[in-house]
Amino acid sequence: MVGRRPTENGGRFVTIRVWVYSLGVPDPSEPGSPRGRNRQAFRRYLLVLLVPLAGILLALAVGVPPQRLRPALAFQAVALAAALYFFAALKLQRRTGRRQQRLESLTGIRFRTPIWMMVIECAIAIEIGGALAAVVATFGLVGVANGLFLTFALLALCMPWFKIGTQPRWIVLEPNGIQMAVSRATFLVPWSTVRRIEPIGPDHFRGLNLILEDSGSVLESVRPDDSKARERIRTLIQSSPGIGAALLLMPWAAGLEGRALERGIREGMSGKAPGMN
Amino acid sequence: MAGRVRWETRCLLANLGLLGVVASACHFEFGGHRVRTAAIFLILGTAWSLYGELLFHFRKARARRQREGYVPRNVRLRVPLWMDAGSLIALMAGAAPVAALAGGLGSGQAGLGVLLAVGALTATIGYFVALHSFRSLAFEVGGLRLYLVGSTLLIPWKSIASVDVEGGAGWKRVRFTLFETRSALASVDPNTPRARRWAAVALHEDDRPPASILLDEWAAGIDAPVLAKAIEAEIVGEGADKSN
Repeated sequence: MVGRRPTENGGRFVTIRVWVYSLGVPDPSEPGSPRGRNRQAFRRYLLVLLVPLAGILLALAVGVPPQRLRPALAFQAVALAAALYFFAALKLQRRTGRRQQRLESLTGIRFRTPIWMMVIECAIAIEIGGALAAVVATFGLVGVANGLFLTFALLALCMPWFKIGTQPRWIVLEPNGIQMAVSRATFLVPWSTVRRIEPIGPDHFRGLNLILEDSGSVLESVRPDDSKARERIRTLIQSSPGIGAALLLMPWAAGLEGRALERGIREGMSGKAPGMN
Repeated sequence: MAGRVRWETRCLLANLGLLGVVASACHFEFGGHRVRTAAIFLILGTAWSLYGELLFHFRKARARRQREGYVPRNVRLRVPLWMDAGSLIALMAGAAPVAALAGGLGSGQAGLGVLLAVGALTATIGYFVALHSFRSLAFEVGGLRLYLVGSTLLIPWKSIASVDVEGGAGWKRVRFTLFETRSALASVDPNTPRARRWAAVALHEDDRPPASILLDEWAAGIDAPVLAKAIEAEIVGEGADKSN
C-alpha cells in the first residue's frame, strides 16, 4: 500500500492492519452494531457521491455550459456505478458469510475467492477515482481528471495482483491441517504446527494471524518441491523474534468469512471438526 | 536487503535514464513541446529521488549518532517533518516516469493528474496510519507517554512485559507487550469515550491478549533498536540512573 514498503513483511503487517481498520471500522467511537455500521457506510458513500454532484449542480447554476460539464458527469456516472456494485456485492458477501457460518463442517471443501468478490476492492478505487475526477473535471481540468482517474483505475486493476503472491488462491481444511495454494505453490499447515490464532479487526471484517510453532514442517510440504516455491512460501511466513513464525490471512481470504475460518481452524486444532475421525 | 537495489535508487536510475533519453530527443529537436513537458516531470522525479537517497543516508547517520547518545527525558519526541515526507516523496518519485509518459504522449495535464492522485492516496493512507499509531512519545518518570492524534496516554514502566525489535535489515519496528492495559487506558487524556476507544485500538486490545504496542520504524524520530534499548533500560530501572 501507499506510504509503506509492501514487499517487506514488517511494513506489510502494519499497513494491512491499518487497512483492515480503515475499511472495517473507520471510527471506533461509532456504535458497533450492524445498523450503526450501515449508517456509517451510507454516510461515507453519500459524501463521496454527493460532493461531486453538488459541484456539478453549482457549476450549472453559475452558468457553466452543460457541454463543458459532460466529462464530469461521465466520471460521476462511473463512480455511481462502482458504488452500486459495491453495495450489491457487500450484501451478497454478507449472505455468503452467513451461509458459511451455518455450515456444519468446513472440512474437505475447497474455498476460493469468486471473481465478484475480488472486484469489490477494485470498485472502491474506481468509485473514489471517479468522484475525485468528477470534482476536478467540474473545474474544466479534464486532462488532470483523466490522469487522476487513470491512476485509480490502474490501482484497481493491480489490486487482485497484489494478493496473488500474498494471499491463498484456495483453502481446504483437511483432517490433518490447512491446505492452501498461493500463486503456483501449494502447502499444508499441520494442526500441530498452529500454536494460536490472533483475530485482527472487527467481527464483520476479520483477518487472522496464525502463529506457528515453526515454519519447517510447512516448508517441507511445499509443492512443487523446488527452491523457488519454497522461497515464496518462506517470505509469506513472517518470522520475528517476538512472535515466531506467523501466517497472515486477510479478511475473506479464499472467499472465506473470517469468523467461519476461525471456527474451522479452532475445530481442526482441537480435533473436533465434524467429519474428522 | 543485500544484493537488492533500493526503491529510491531504482527511482533515481529510472528518472535519470529517461531524462537522458528526453535530453537526447531535445538535442535532436524531436518531439518539441511534448518532450519538454516530459522533461519537467522527469526533473521533478530526479529531484525527489535524490531527496530519497539523501534521506536514506541521513537516517543511517542519525541512527549512528543516536546509538552513541541517550534518549532525552520529559521531552516530547516527534518524527521530524523532513523524515516524515520521505514516504510521500518516494512514491512521487516512482510516479514521475508515468507522469512523464503521459506528458510525452501529449497530455501534461494527465501527468499532473497522475502525480495528484498518487499524492492524495499517500496522504490519505498516511492519515489513517497516523490515526492508529503512536508517532510521538516522551520518556517520563512514571512511564512512557504516547501520543495519538488529539489524545495522550501513559504506559507505566511496570506494565511493560517485554520489548522486541521486529523486521529485517531494511525495516525495523518496536513491539512491546503489556501485562495489563487498565492503567494505560485510565490515563487517557482527554478521558472521553472516543479517545479511550482510539487508544484501545492502538493498543491492539481487541486483537488478542496480551495487548501489545507497535511503534513504526523511526517512531518519534528514534531508530528502532535505540528506542527498544532505552525502553528496556527504563523497565529494569537503569534509564533513570543514566539521566541523573
